[in-house]
Amino acid sequence: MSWVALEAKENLVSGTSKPLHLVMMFVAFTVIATIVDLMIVQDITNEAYKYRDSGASTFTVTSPGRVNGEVCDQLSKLPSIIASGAIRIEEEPLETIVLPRGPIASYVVSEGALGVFDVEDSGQVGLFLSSTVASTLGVSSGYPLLLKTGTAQVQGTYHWPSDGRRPGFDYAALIPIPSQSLFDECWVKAWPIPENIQILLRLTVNAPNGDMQIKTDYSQVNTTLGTQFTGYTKLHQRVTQHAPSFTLILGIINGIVLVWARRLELASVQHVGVSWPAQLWQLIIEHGICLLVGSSIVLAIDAVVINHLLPMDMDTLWEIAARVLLCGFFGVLLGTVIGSHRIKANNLSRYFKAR
Amino acid sequence: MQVKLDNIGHSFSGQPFLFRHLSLTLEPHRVYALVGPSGSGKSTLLSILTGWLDPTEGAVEYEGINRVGWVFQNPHGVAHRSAIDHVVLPLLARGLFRSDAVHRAKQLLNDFGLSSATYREFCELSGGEAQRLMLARGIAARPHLLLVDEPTAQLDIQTAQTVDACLGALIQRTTIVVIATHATSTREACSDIINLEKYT
Ligand SMILES: Nc1ncnc2c1ncn2[C@@H]1O[C@H](COP(=O)(O)OP(=O)(O)O)[C@@H](O)[C@H]1O
Ligand SMILES: [Mg+2]
Repeated sequence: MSWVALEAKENLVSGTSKPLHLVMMFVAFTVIATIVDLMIVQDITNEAYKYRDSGASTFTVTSPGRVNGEVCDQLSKLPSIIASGAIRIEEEPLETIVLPRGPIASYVVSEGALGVFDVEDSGQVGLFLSSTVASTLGVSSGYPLLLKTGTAQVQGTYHWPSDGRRPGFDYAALIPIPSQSLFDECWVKAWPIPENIQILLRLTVNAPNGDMQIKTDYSQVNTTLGTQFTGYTKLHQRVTQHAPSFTLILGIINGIVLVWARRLELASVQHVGVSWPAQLWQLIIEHGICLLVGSSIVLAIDAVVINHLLPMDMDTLWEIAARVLLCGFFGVLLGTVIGSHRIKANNLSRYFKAR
Repeated sequence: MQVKLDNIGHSFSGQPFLFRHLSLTLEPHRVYALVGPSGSGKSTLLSILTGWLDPTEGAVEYEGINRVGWVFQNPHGVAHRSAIDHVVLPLLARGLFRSDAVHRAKQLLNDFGLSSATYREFCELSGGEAQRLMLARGIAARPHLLLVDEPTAQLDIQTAQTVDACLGALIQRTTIVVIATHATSTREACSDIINLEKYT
């Protein structure tokens, strides 16, 4: 049967099997399908990051003076909880010696809260300023801050942009205290959002004698983007999730068309004694080699796209790319089998009449 | 080894009979010229002989015929494969070793006056060379019955004669050959004549 392989090789070298055409078509439709789907996934992912990073996925419970800081901090150990911590509003705002903008709202916070605020920490024990305060006063991490009540160290800063998140923290200071005390609120930053988030938050509210009547308020740090992230539905309903089916079908069509374009040659060769299985093998080898070459080109392009354009979860992206590629690959082979199946030696005269 | 036509007749659905009451026996080592004007049913009779088409009347009996070859009016080779590749392939498919197949193919090409074209691509061959190559390839498959449909119809008279000159090579190598034609030169190169006009 080695003559079949040699025949396939000769057909590739002589261009009879249209190898360039197949490689180019395959690379084109696979790469286009992959990139379009990756772009849309990237859009949805960016939306998700925006939702999460603007505080929409940071859930809060408010119950003044009843929130257990330790329990609240511990929640961050649970899966899909990124950070959690408790805060309490200080009645006395901080007043600096120089007063460019009035008093600074201040909050005492548990250790875990520093993670929720995503602070930049210099390591020198002190307080944390919002970046607005820091720049207004011209101080940064490690600097002393002159207050009316004395001097405090600036331990770090945090960002509080006005992207719809709760006001009151953009011109404020956080004063870390040990978690073993009572606070007003517990904040939980979660991703993805667990369904039982309210139950988790409720755990942090001290209820003496199991009193469930205690008033608790649930909210989000940013309520302007909705209580649920709608991107998941978008992700699962995106048109381009069908990219693998698309490449499968295009692959099948390509395989059939390539074989069909050679029907006279193939049928007449069957007619002089080459069996159908031998011919099918020959076609599979011819197209298979083109597909391997095409696949390596596609993988190289995919690697560039995934590494340089999309700063995201690589595994998911490669999974998308691989699925599209494999479907295209086997689509062409399937099309080859279907096309070849239709070539029968005794159809030869009919092809001629149709010409 | 023979083919017996027993009172064959054919008409395409509802149309008048193309030919009728055709009875004869085709025998080995003879080349039959199948003649008649265009539309008289030459190709139709060839289709019946391959078994692709059932005659409206009568029956065809084959004795010891397993492989039937067919060479068409238009040569249909593979554009960018060499002449010898065309002839080697059916030999390989029959199970010959490559060296034997190449040797046999060269002999066949020589018999059909194609020695100088051995390594030329099919698309570079002239009409006469292409048609002779198709005959050589048809024979390489070793059919018991070789049917040739108007091999010279597309060729000018001189080129046609180069094809006719090869028919002798067919007689030696195949058992039974039937050539549909209306070229007088082809008819003269054949050993027997079947005139379809006589069977109406
Ligand atoms: N499949 C078919 N169905 C109906 N009519 C056909 C078919 N094939 C051929 N014919 C008709 O039968 C007649 C004989 O055709 P053909 O055998 O090709 O003649 P020839 O080869 O002698 O020129 C023509 O009139 C043609 O139109
Ligand atoms: Mg005809």
